[in-house]
Amino acid sequence: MSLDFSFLIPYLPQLAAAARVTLTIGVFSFVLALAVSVLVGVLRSGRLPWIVNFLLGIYVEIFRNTPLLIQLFFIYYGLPTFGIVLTPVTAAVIGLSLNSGAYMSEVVRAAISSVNKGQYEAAFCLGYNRYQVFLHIVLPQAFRIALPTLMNYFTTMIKETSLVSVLSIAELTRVGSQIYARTLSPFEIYITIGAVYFVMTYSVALLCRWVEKKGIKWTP
Amino acid sequence: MDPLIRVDRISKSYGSHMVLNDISLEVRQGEILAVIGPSGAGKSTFIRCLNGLEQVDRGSVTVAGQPVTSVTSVAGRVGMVFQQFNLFPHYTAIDNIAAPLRTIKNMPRPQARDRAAELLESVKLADKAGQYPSTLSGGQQQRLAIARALSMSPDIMLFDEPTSSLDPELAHEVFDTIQALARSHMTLLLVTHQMNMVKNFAARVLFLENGAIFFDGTFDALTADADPRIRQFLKKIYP
Repeated sequence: MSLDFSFLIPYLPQLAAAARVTLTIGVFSFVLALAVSVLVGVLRSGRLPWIVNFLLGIYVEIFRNTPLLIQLFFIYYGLPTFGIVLTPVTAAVIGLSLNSGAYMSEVVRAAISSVNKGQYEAAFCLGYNRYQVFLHIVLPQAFRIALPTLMNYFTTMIKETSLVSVLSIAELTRVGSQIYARTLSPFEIYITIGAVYFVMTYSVALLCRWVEKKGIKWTP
Repeated sequence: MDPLIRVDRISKSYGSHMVLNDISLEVRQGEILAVIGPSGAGKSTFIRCLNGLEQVDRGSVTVAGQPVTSVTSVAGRVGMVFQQFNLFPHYTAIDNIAAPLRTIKNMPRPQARDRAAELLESVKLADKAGQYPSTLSGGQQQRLAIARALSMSPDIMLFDEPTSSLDPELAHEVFDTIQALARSHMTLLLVTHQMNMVKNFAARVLFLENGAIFFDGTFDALTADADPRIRQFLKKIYP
């Protein structure tokens, strides 16, 4: 068999646009997921009325224990039943960020609970109040613990965007399938798509490593 | 003169295990007390009750007339130095002192750093100001922890086995720092196993056993005491 990638040249602008959509959805979803996870993780670490904890727990467990695909279908096709109509991209970003936010909130929670008890004691003895201890002492240390894992979720997030092709969004996977349908050359097109994903996720991984190295100068 | 610390018949249990059993004590301003005793005698729990890190089940603790109800009730007035240092790893040496001054006392940044630099100097760490705790030796970390506790201008300093996790050589640096503090008429309570520390500057020694004060007196009186339990304990750590 012979491989010929030249037929893809006319499709390059289309692929570039699709890659941009993938990246945009990935980045927006990750930023939102980060916000969700910090909020939920912090709230679940604190002493809150049981009902708040219970509701947050339900959110986390539902999103961790059902397939992302079903969540996306529910948000895009199911919510209009309740009068909530979303564009495909909005539905995708909401689905991805709520899904990853649930997982990442557990990372945040675990990081917070792994901060040494002695840190609280030392801070309280000096005169920090509960809120100050959390903000100045616990969170920065938890951030360091959580950062590598959270950054892993970023690369996972970019790969998971391929699932939102089911919402007829012109992202990489969908555009790839369309090109395949027209050219009937699955090998070349999917290897190309795979390579584009690889470049994106690997760049993100390198960025993450850089952030970890430059952003945090202290070691425990 | 009223005592600086008044401990009135405190008791504390963990479950069915009684850790402190009806302890009373008065400490005057400027006194230096060493708290010694076998492991599990309740020494750490006892000094942790003095600043509210542990809540007593019965009885009361008063510091400078202020009832100790929680750690926040006397925070800053009672400095605490831990066996494991408990420095803030994400702050540099100078910020370990300056950051609490800014957060708690609302001190402007330049002032807080000046004060922190002074304190670093006093524990001979001026050249380590920009270093993170993880890059310091154990002895340096503990001296930094002492300087940090002093930054709040406490009336009393509590030391919970400050040299137990250090090599003898490094323990010596910390020992010197505590000795300098002792000379400055600070009120000190020191849980320790190091009898040279007790001998050198503790005017008063408490021997705790099974959660009760078994002996309260000078070091010389302690070593002269004929009680077999004290003799046996001393034989082990001060042969």
